[in-house]
Amino acid sequence: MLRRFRSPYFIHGLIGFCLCMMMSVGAQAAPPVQSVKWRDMEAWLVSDNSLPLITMKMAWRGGTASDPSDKSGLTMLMSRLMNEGAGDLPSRAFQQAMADNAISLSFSASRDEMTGTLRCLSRYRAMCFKLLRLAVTAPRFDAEAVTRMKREQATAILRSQQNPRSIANQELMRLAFGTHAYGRIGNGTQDSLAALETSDIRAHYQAMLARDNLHLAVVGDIGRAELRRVMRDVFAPLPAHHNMPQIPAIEVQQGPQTRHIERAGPQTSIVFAQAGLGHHHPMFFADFVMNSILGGSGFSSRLTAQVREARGLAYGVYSGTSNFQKAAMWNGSVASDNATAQEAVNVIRAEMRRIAQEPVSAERLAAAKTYLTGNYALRFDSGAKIAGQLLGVQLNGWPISYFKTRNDKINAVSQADVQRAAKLLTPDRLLLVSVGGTAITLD
Amino acid sequence: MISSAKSFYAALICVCLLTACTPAPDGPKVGTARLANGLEIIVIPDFRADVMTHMLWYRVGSADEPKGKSGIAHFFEHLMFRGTENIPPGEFSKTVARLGGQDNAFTSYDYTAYFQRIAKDKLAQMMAMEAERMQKLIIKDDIVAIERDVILEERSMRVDGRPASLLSEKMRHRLHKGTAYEVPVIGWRAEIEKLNAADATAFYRRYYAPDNAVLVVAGAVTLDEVLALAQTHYGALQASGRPRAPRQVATDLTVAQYEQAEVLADARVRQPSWQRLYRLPQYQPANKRQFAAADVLAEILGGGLTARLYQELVVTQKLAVNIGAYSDSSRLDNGEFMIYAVPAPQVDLARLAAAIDDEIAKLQNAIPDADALRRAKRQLVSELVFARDSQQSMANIFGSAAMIGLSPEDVLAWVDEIDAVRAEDVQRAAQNFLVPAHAVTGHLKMGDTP
Repeated sequence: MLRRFRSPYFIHGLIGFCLCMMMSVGAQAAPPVQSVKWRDMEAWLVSDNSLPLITMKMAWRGGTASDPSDKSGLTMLMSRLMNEGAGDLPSRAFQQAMADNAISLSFSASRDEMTGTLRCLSRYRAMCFKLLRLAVTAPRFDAEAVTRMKREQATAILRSQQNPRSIANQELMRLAFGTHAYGRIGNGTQDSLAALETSDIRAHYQAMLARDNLHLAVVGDIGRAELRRVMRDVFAPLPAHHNMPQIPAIEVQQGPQTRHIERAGPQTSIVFAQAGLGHHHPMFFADFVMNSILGGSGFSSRLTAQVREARGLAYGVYSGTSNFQKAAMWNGSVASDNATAQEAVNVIRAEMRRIAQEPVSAERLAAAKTYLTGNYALRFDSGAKIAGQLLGVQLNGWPISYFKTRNDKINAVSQADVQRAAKLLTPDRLLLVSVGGTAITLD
Repeated sequence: MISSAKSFYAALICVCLLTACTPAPDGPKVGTARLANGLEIIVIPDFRADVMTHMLWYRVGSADEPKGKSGIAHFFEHLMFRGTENIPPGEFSKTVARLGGQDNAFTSYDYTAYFQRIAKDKLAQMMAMEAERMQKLIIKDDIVAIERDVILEERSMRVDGRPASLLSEKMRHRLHKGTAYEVPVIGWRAEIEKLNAADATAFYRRYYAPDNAVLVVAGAVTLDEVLALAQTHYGALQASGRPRAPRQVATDLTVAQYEQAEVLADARVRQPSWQRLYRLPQYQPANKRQFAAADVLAEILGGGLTARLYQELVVTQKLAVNIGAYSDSSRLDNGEFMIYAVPAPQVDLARLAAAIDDEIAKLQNAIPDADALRRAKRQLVSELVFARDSQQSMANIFGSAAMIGLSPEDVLAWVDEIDAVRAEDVQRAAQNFLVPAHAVTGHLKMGDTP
């Protein structure tokens, strides 16, 4: 029945995108979050037995940016292999054990971490945590699976090269970060991928999967005592300390700089960026509210009002912050007909200037606050979403009290704060990439 | 006036597929009711968070469009956000946002749905706004012109700029030739360009009425609360008394020139791919067992890494890098069974297709083994259990089912239907549904020109 609901459909609008995997976390609506410790490890837990499900998210610091410069694609390849056989279960046996017990375990990698997501039914918890322990502590990295996943990753590289938005984003990251690890593509290149060996993956696994760079978020039909046993059984066998390189901090390159990639089709896809404010910047919340008003709140943003509703120049337009562990970036995107793409960018830049020059009205600020604070509860209406929030706040380096204080911090932002944050926007010094029929300028 | 109200417990939590299935006491309690003006109501309580998903589903989709007006259903959906007698243009979504919620809408072949996700104490206001735009929308030429541009941009982004989407559009045009599904949901560009306010107004008057809609609320609310508020806000709307007209359904499933693949060669393609769509008979309650068997068949054939196609073509023969299958029978007219594959480098698409056909033949010539059958069933049923984690998923499942005439009981009975599928049923489904003459095969290739 669920598989049936896949007919093509078209939605009214898109609500933005984020270049990093980090979620923008935003209140009071959160359920009670407990800290559960076992020796040197900590997990954040929301215990709720109203459904017979358990969701666990785990992340290890050291994502694709930690790939050695001549081995790009390594972390991504490792993440593809983490559920491809472990212990005495080769790939197929491992996958069958998951399927037989309705267990879902998958791994993915972003620039700053590798993340695992486990979902299981309470009744299969024993097998669920057993398979997780095997995957985490004894992945096999069999030659067959390595070859197969390299082919899959090679395909992913090709696919990203036929999507205008990802073509544009890859170029934007190169402009923003140059030769820094953040400027590289997580999947690597065909050449770097082809050169990776099983010994590279094993070494990377041994360096990354440890206890001191592990973040855990657990939600559902599980209590403190059981979680502590899981932490002991699954994660305690890992080394105490990771052995990953430090990623140097980097500032987003200053513009103006534009790049155009010609591509056939009716539309030009555009992405742009500049330096942003990090998660620990004193103006972080002012910036967050400012971005919501400008381009981050979907249908109620100024960019949507001006670019889409007033002029019909685009279907989706977005701006906001994409933060990484060692870099803070502000970025945005739009796609518009080749004949109107320049106008769309001009309107966006005019809105960036306007929000810096004219203070937002008290009414607009109040509306932004009730939107952001009210919306927060919507991020906690499913176990899967709650686990994502618990992990996101940890990865942002915020304390467990964040869930309770976040809305107060938003409510404390003043009109002057918003304007101060807006004055950091540099519409004349953007990095901008256009892919399509119109080369965009910043004149 | 409320003419009927009922609620029942359901058996979502039975993963005990090998033994007799006993409904677990903690299954979801889904409530249904109907107002005197015909508005149907489905309520799925979930009190884990103080929020709810309020959806209004209309029994009208792109397949109901007048000839030559393709795209009007989706276009009209956009106009529903652009102003009513009491809500100025642009204010609908802004009001929802100011109240701390988010809203959106979507259109498919058989339905159009509008929703808000918001704190539960805002339900009355959401209903008032949704009821307002059901019958007091203002459609003005200047707004229509702007929104048409937005939709052309949407078409450029989702279809015209993506060779893979263009190929799917061409394949479905051939697969469903002669029926409404031959036209893409978003519409043909040349026809979208001509849509106007008069078209939108006619469409609105014809289809937007309470007796053509289903209200679905999932979240921290009870059936009684929803009923009382629905009566207040939706109860006074006038019924149209005009359900949508039945559509032409293909009974002869043969596709013209089925032997000939639909080929799209485009310079923008970097990764070739292969797909096949089989036309299925129309879903009917009387033959629902064979569609449950089709779901199990899709799972055994292409439902993931343990499935036949993946193990045989990716792991063993190394002809493909990725492969899968699914069955989509949840439509009013003909359904589709899809197989898709990404070839390994240097593998010819014809050779890949031959290997896929071999796997299909195996399932047509022999029953699947007991382990594969059990695993496939468990995977399918557990998906529905996992779906309970999300109120939005639950609202979507029950709402979209209602659009093709399936009640919540029908949805929940699906678990038992899957449970009842025997190995012989899977073999028969492979024989009946995976018929070469009922299919269109598509090749996406690298080419010289866009």
